[in-house]
Amino acid sequence: MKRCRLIFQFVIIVAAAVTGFRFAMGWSRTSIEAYCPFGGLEAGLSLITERQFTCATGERNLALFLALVLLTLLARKAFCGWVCPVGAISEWFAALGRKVFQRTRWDDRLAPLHALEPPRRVDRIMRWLRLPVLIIILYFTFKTGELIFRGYDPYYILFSFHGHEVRMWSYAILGVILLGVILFPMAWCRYLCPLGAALWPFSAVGRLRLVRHEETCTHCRACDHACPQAIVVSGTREVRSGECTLCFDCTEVCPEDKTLVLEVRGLGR
Amino acid sequence: MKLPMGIVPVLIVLSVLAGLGMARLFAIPSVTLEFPASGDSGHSSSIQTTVFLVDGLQCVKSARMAGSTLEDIPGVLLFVAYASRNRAEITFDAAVTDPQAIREAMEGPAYEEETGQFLFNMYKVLEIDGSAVFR
Repeated sequence: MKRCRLIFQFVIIVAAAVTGFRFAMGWSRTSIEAYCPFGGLEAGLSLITERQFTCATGERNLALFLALVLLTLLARKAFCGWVCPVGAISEWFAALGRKVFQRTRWDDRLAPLHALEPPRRVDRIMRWLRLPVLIIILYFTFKTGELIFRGYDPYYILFSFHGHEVRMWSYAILGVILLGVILFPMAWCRYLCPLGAALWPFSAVGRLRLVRHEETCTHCRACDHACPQAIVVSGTREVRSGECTLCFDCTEVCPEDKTLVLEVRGLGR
Repeated sequence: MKLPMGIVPVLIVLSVLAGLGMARLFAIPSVTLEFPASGDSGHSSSIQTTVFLVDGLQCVKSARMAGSTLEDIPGVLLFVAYASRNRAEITFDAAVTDPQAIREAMEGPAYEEETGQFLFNMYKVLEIDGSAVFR
């Protein structure tokens, strides 16, 4: 499954890079913005009040956002773990960070993780930062009619090939984000991503979830250490967190075959 | 009910296809401009709508500017732009003007309200009613 996910992430990144490059070279009229589901959300207020899209957003953004909401209601934040190119790059940079800074999370028993793993309570509070980020972006996008997030958006900065409104400070912001991801695990996704904040309520009620079978669990906590979202898988009977991306990193490392299984919520055990 | 983990990539592919498919089912204009003062010949039979594929028409602002290039063209009645598709549907009185005149106006200087300047080479009409424009 890990290889399958890696292929997914790689294909999406290549597709985004090719789309962005073709647009930047003038070979195509479709920019990478056209494939961003967040654009559908950004256009929401303007669509409701003025019956028109905001800036460069269009039907594709809206349709992809609606499809993403449906996906999230089923498969939780699978988009973040499987599709989002920023999520993939964050993961890869986080893996680099793990190699550079050898440090263990919470205890010394298992694999080293990040240089700065915030305590659980701080981590939980910091995740709320995504909400004001989301509100500010939506408010100013609606107010100005422009996609004001462009210059700060790692997806746009990375794949637009110096697109419209990308300035030198945009690259500085991107650098800070990537450095942050190396130091703090999945810092962008956990603490700043506005799309992640918007998807959270849908993800929290998502139908698919990983269920841990207590009877076969050895409590080795390998799942806890493998989870990129710092979910304590070993401490729950089923992973209910709205942050779960169904990346299956926990099932990969689980030494017991049928301890962590994917089930549909509400349809029996 | 237990499920194979392979269901997750399947659901993702299906949702992406659903999103891309859904996007083709509806169209919401980025900008709609009416030109009531531009006048027509009075013959409703000569009113026609032509679809222009325009390079440079890619956001609400550029669509509005493209529409403003047609303000003073007699016979142009309605400008509806779909920026995400680089498409403009222009309704005009064929007895007064024609698609070539509209194309020339659109490819001419465009007035930018924010700066008060005229911008040149903003738009290039690529297709008129599905036929490529040869230069």
